[in-house]
Amino acid sequence: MADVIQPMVEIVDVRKRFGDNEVLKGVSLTITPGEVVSIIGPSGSGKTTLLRCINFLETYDGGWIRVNGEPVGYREKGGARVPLKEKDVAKLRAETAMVFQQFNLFPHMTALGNVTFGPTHVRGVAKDAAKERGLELLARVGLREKADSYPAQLSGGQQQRVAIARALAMDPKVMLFDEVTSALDPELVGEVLAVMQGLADSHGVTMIVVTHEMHFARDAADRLVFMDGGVVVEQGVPAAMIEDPQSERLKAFLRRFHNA
Amino acid sequence: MEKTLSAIAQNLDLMLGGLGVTLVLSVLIIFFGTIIGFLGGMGLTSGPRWLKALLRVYVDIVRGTPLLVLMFLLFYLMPEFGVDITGFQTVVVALSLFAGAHISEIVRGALTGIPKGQADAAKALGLTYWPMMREIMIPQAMPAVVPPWTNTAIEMVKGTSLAFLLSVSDLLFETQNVVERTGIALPFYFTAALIYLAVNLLLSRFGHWLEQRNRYAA
Amino acid sequence: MFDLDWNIVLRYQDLIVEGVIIALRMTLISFAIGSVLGLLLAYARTSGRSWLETPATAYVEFLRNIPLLLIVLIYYFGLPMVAYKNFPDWLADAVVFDGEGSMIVALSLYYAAYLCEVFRAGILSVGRRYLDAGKSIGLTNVGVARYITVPIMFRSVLPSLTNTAISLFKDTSIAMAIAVPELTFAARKISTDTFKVFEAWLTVGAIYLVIAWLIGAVMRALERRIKWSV
Repeated sequence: MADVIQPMVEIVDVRKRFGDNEVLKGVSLTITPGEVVSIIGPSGSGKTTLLRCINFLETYDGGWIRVNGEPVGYREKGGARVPLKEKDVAKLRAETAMVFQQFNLFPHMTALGNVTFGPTHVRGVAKDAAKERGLELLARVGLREKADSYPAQLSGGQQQRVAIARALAMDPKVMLFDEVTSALDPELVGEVLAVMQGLADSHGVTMIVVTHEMHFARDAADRLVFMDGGVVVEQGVPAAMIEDPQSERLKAFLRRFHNA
Repeated sequence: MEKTLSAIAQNLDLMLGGLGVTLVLSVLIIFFGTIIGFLGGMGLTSGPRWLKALLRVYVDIVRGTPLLVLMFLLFYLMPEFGVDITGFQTVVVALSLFAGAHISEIVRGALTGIPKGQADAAKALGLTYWPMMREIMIPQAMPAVVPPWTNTAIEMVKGTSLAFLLSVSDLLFETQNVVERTGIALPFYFTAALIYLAVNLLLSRFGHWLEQRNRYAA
Repeated sequence: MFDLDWNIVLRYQDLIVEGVIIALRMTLISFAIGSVLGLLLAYARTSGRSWLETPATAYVEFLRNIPLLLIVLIYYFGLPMVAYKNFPDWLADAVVFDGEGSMIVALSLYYAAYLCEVFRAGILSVGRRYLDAGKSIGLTNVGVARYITVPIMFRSVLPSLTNTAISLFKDTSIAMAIAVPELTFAARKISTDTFKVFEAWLTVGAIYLVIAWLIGAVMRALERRIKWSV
């Protein structure tokens, strides 16, 4: 028997509805450790919701999500789904990190404070060690000299790079990126994508990237996933998929992109 | 004039004793009101539905009723439940509930004003509810909480004067006693007014100091 | 639990109705006088002339930082003692009022300070451009105030005005301290006369709640009737 690699993220038939609106209609996806996956799709396709479900920022109504083998948000008890205790949810979330569209840096902490907060308050890392590591990470995103600045004193691109450093500081097994360049002025997109490209190249961490940046999706990702209408429509090698889309829906989506 | 001055001098210690009671009342009320208010405000924003409904009823009833009615209600009603309650205790409980309701609304408003992404980011780092409140939400709510909190605190210092109506010997009660005993009115009343003014101006200063301390780079 | 006897409320309904009327009368008159004084104070505080600003500011700071009950006692007990000793009789008679009148004076003076702050915020919120537009068509300063600032300001301060009106209404309860037979006085009388504590205080508490809610509803209806916005 061949070695079976334990998947890093396993999504099986996940369903989610907001009132009458079913936004995820049975999504399945398996992601291996170190893989970089880009999810693309029109707005309302459910890609952001899926990402938020992986971090349990949204509950889901059916199916299972497992991260590193651990079920997310629920446990099984006699065939029924029982919500996990808040503590266990928090523990799971600490293993995954998320970078948000609106950065969501804590405005009352400096850049360094934002980066060291998780390690000191959740992981119990000593202050000095966290600070040293935090400065290292800020250097990695090119913001070593901004360590003492508050978020309001930084540009959007700089804030997003701090947010990436904050996520990295948790040594996450999986990093989730939710349209991280959408809120940025066009001239600031490049610096953030460069940091993400560096991360992807190092293959140290599993990345799931919801994005509108086709170049990033094509060049940095190992796999491309196209979602529409709450399901995965097509997935595969990025370049091949973009050049030779199989489904009508992906063709239509890409056409709109080229025209834009 | 000389007679008035010596009357003030003779009775000042009585009034200062009353001031002591007023200050103790104020500190207790602001303390309890603040605790009730922060817990209430958190419950109103992130509590389970039954708690939200319960707190909403509490806040709306208390804010729609005169403080004086609340005070008398407690004072006359508690004995009916077999609870002996002194005038002093009544004032502390009634005004704490009153301040608590107002501060609940203040804290609720401030918490609601924080962008939703802040809670997402805190949860994504693996924070549970109480650490998230303590480290992320409350510090960000403070700039919006402090100014109206200070106003509420000043209203409460003034509100302690209602203790007079339950014969608690606060500043106003002692002042009225002295006025009735000496037959000298305005000098004593204005002395009392100046004392209240001084206490509240100090409280305002404290509020400004809190504001400065809770500011972060914008 | 208790022997509840709600008939007691009916038996004392005259006292309660009278209490409501007096409370509303005090609210209406004090709010009207307080608004006029408050508006004048607000103009003084934003006039840019220090001989107007300083006394207006001092007045507001003083009144807002002392208890209403103290002002009531000063006017009701203190003033007559001084007036009949030092003033000519006609003047003393003119300034000394009965309980309700004293309460109205105290409420008006006290709430003038609060209303000043409400109106001041409103005046400051009226944009320069409207004032310039008013002056450019040849309005005098008074004309600008009358036709431009006050209407625009009134719109933006309506919600705070509502809150202040409700506070004022609730504070009429303090008149019971000088034996004005308003609503709280009625509750206390019923509860001490009959020992029907529960019935008396809950009824009166509910009446306050309903009237406070009604004041809010009327003001919100007024707000909706103004179709324009700034």
